[in-house]
Amino acid sequence: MLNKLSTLVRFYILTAIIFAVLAVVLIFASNSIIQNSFINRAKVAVSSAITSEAKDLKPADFSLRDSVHAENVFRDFYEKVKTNETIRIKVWDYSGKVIFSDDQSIVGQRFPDNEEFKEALRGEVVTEIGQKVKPENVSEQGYKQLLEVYVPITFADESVPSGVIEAYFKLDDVNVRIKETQTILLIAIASFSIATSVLFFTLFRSVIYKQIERINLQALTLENVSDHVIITNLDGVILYVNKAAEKLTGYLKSEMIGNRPSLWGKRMPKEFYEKMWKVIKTDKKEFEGQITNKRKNGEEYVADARITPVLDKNNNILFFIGLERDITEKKIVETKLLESNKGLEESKEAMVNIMEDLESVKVKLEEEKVKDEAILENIGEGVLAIDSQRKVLFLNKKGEEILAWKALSLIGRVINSLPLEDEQGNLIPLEQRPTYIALKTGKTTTTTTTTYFVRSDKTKFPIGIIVSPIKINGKITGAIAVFRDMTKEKEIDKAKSEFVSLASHQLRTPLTAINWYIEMLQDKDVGVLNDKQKEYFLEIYKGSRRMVDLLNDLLNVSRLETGRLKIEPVPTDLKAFIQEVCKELQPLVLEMGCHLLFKLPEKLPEVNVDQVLLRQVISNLLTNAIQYSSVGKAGQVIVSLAVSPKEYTISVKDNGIGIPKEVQGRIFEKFFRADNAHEIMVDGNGLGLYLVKQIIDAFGGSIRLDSEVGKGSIFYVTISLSGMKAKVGQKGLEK
Amino acid sequence: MKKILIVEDEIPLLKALADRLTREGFSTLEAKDGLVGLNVALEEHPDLILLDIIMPGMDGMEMLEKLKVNPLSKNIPVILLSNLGDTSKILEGIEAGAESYLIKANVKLEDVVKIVKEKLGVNIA
Repeated sequence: MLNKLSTLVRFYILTAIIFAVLAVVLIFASNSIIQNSFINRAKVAVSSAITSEAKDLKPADFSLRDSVHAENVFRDFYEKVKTNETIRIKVWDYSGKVIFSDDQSIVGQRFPDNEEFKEALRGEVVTEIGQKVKPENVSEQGYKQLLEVYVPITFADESVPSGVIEAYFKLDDVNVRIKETQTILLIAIASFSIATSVLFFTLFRSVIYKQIERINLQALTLENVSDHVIITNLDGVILYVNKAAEKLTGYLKSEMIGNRPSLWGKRMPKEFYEKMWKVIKTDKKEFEGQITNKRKNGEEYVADARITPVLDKNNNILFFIGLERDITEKKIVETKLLESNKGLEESKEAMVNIMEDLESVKVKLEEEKVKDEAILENIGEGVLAIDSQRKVLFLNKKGEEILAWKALSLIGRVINSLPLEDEQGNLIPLEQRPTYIALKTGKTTTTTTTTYFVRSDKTKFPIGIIVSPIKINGKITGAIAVFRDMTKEKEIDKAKSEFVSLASHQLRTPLTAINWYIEMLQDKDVGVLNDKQKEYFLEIYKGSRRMVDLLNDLLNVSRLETGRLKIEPVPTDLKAFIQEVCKELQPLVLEMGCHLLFKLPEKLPEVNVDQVLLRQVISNLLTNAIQYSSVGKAGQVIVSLAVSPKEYTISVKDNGIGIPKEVQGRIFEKFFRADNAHEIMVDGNGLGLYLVKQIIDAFGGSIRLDSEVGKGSIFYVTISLSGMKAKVGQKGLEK
Repeated sequence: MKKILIVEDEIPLLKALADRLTREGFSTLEAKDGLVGLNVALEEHPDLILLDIIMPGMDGMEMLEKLKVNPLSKNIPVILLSNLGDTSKILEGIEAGAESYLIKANVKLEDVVKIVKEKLGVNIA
């Protein structure tokens, strides 16, 4: 920008100076031109007036010696000729004597050597500026400058003038005119110069400035191109070098300019340079070649060189342009490549061999792949593969059928664009979707609650999904989801659960009758029983109670399995709640002769829990702990409650028979009972821990255990610090 | 002597309840369905009603509702006695105005008597 501006400013100043000089010259020139033109006009006017009036004169009038007579003749003439400008006349006879003048003082005087008079006498009208003789009674002010016009009077038949009439022409008006004209001229010049400047600037900007810019740009480009550029005259003397040349040769510009390229050259055989000079100087052609030069620090470098002669119109060389590009690096690489090429040739053969081997492996793999694909395609369950971004990679035929989606239109889609809903029709959030969990945790994930898949036509069906993450080198790269339509299972489940529910109710009624009548017998409502009778009735009563308990558990199982369990949390003091549940079990504690201990914190904020569910969990764990620890000895059960920043943990510890390691993974299965448990107590139904696990899963808690055979077990149940979340459902548990 | 109305379609259970309550010193009225139960309740003004839910004809829930809208019977305490054990059903009964809800299979006669006495303010011996 500064550069541009200074160029413009410089140009402007230069133009201004040119116009100023032009103006001064013009004014001076105009002065004399205008003056001359006025003088000429005055000369013509005065001479023609005098000549025309002189027609009435006679040659003899110029020979009059009598001044009075002359006065008579020329006074009249003077009056006719006199104007505002023509203010005085002198009448000269041919001898140079003034025979008449309106200035009486000079009449009769002789001026035979007056140059103008002598010239006029030769027949020319002569003019002279200024006044050699200051006329009297003519004020200084009025006649600053006068033009003396000498008019020769030549009569017909005469060859020489008979006399000369001199008139004084007033030039003061002329001067005023000149000044006026000059002013106008000056204004004209100024306007012209401004107009021209503007025009010129416009022109300059559009044409010249652009040209300058272009030239600047070219120069700048030339200066900054990575190729080395030099310009030399015919003898090879360097006129110009660019930056790259400094870098390439190691010499400074100042060292190179005025020197010759041989400064860093001269590394090639003589013939090379001879040939080069012949091509560029004699043939006037471009020379190209690879040249080795030497830097200032002695290092050699290889360059592609190109020297071009620049010619004028007449084919004479003006100068040479030389370009060099450093190809040393390239050369090294080339050499290395050549070397490695040899190695490559050898390894190529080896590669060909490997490729051939690979080809046969590939054919085998292809066959395997086709086999795998055929299996996947025709498997009886839906199979869907996703990548780590959860985009669908594959969907088999059965999958297409189940989801009512074409594999082709699903591949590439993100799997969560397929909606999954819970039983109430709420969309299952991303972080609860099995694919998400499997990819995040790297663990095989199964849908635990009833999940519905919504087809694109909005129909839905219950879906069971198992997602296994695919790990390659420990990194999760995707997952395989195997799924099936659970509609039939669901229907069977429902029928089963309804049957169980109804059957349970119907079965309870006769059991109630049995229990109540035995109770009345035992309570001696109808008389005293003997010991044997008492004993037998107790057995009947126990059997009946077991039946009631079994029914209750079955009812709960049926509710939990149909997934219609509702959760209704209420703010609860956990400590008091645990104590209350323990109190309810006091009869059992007493019966079994067990020691029940507590490790409960002093004060806890209230937690939102569903008391029915939690009661069932604690009660079932405690019942087990009491029963399995108090066989043949006094058992000890410790109930604890601990709080961590994440959760509440309720633990039930016993010193009972323990659970063998190999079945610890199965104890939450429905109807499963460990052999050692079965041995000491026949009447367990294998539903207690199953229910516990189902309930905990339903409210989102967790359960784990530590156990050793013969030493005892500890069960840990966790509840989130925020407590249980409410869930709308149709059924609660049996109390 | 306090009068207790027992509405129960299962004869053995009705008999067991009546026998035990009589032995405990109450006088009992018996009905085998909701409609009869409602009529007896309105005529006899019992001090307490033990009410089964699943019965032919008018069931226990319907009878309870009718009792509660009638100013003559709305203040009679009602204890529901059923083998339906859903918590939702229990809640429904309590909301309809029952004093208590007992699952027959899970309670002893002794427990029934205890609650009846509690509700009637009779001293528990």
